[in-house]
Amino acid sequence: MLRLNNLRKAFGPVVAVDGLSLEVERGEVLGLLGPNGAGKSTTISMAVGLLKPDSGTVTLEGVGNADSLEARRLLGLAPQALAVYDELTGLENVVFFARLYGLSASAARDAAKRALDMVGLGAKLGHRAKTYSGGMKRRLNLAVALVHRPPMLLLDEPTAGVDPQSRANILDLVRSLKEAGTTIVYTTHYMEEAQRLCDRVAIIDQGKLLALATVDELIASHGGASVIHVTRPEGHERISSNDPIRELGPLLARGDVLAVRIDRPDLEGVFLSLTGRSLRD
Amino acid sequence: MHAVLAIAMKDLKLLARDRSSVFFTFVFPLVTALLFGFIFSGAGGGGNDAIEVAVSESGLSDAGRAFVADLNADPSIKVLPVATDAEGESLVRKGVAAAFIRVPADFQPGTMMIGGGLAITGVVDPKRTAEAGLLEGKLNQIGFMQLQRAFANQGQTEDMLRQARAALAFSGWDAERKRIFSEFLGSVGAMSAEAREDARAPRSGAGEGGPEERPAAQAGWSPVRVELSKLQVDRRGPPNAFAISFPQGIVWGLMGCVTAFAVGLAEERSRGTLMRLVVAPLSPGRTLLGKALACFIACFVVQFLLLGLATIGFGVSIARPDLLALVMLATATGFTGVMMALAGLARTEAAASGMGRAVVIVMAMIGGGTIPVFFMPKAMQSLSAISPFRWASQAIDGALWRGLPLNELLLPLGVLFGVGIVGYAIGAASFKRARVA
Repeated sequence: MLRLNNLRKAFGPVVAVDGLSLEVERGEVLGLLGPNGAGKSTTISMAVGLLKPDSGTVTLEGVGNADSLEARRLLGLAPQALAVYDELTGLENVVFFARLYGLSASAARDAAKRALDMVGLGAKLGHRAKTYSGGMKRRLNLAVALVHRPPMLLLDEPTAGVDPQSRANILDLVRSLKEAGTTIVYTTHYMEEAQRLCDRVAIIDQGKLLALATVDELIASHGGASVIHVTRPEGHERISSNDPIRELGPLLARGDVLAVRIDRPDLEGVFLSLTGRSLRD
Repeated sequence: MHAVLAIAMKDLKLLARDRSSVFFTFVFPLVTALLFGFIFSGAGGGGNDAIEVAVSESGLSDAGRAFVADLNADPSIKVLPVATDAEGESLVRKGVAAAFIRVPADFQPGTMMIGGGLAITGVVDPKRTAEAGLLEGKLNQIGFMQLQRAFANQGQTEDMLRQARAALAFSGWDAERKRIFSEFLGSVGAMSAEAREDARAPRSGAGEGGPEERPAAQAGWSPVRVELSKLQVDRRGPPNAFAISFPQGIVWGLMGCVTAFAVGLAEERSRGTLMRLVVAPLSPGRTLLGKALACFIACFVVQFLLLGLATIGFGVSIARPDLLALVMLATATGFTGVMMALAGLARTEAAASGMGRAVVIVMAMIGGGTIPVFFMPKAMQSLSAISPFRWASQAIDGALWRGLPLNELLLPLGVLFGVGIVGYAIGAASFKRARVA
């Protein structure tokens, strides 16, 4: 659906994206993970035509150059910033952006109400955005992105700084959009979100693609072994194993086991394993 | 086109909901217009530079030309010679001259002594009535100088008395009055002869008592009778002070629009909504057109509302409604261009706000928004040409109450349209640069 081919972008001496190539398949949710400054937002900006790459190409299936007006109709962007007008109501915000995509006044109004219902703001559509909480604004930001029913959505940290209720609403919405066939690129810092939502995950750091695979494949290849914690009267025992279930039988057979816990490798482990533990300020 | 209109309507909605923008765009200009209107109602002005006075010189006698030359020699007066009355009145309408005066073609010094003095007629710019008062005083002073010079010369005195007696004969006065004035003229002749004798005698105090140095206004009688009317620009009546102050208020309103929209565009950039506009399926040109259209509409509405209020509530009559509509379009275009340039050059809200206000204040100051341009020193008057404020004010004045024809409005109209086009180009170039950075 979307192909990024050998993208490079530098801001002065700082290389933000360095030879990045990846392909987003139709109907999948692709997670884009990376530490701060890894180049995620720059990649998204090049994908939607906001930034011109120094080299490389971005192509969208069926229309070619992703910077064309035709391609832009197929994309929906929810930027990291809350890009809405505080002085307009929720409905006015969404109607305005719908009209930019060529919808007539009445069609834009209908589409805006539908989008606001989808993000759970149907009851507050007449309130000005400045009266919304952070979570409501984040959902409004998302409603604007999907009002014109784009087949492809780019969501740049859509749950940053929201309360658990809003996060649950957004995650449910992403799942339902995926079920409806929408292709989604999802950047986030929350590993559990990526693990729950994404079909595949791309991990990038310092502008380079470090890994791209399903969550299970990433864990298998980069997550390391599971750890079995066994507590006995005489003390605590840690055993690393690639097949903890098979190890468990012999361990329990030795008797005097007070407690057992298995720590399986997860995406966070994969992430830290690939990007390291040094701080990125 | 739907998208362009949607952008424009959205921006106007945002303007209407921002109280401080509404204040500076609509309320503050009205307050300014009323304040200056009331001030102008009670007083005019007076600058330090020479008052420029258009004088018709065609067909003047030698004495008349000498009178004009004396007037021009005065450091507080600068004579602008014109060939016709129409040319003189045009200079006043355009604000180039404070007044236009006609010196009678048959002017002779003797005519200043009969019939209440020499009648000098003309028109004055209603904005500059105080300068007209000063001009009247100067004309009388020059008249006294002419008389004194004539009395100092035997031939001129005799000529002057002859002219006066001839004028007396045809004056239509009754016999008694004619007799008294005839005796007075005889006394004047004798007094003049004695004065010349005194002048030939050796002086005790050198440098004193020359004719040029004697006090001019020696009695209640005046040699010159000045009849200046305010320039008639409309048959329905002369302009009032609000016809002068409302254009100033309008330009303040336009500056409010410029600042509000420039800051608004910078806000779009900083809060990320501009990103959304950029990724929408619109060409950069259409996106900018939407932004510019909103500013243009707001600028037009400011003018329309304030002029409507001036007309309905303050008795201002419009001299050239057709040209005023054209001027309003040009003004809205020019200030939209200023907004586009400011928004393009300022990268942040703070920069747009700071730069916008700084530019507004400087433009207003040098463009006559606080002190009328004609009060300024000559160098500042020249500098004011860089301010769209000055051109807008000049154009609105011209169509509103000066009644200028189209050809005399072409320069300010051209400047305003030009500023609009150049400003739009600067904004568009900056927008494109930012998009592909």
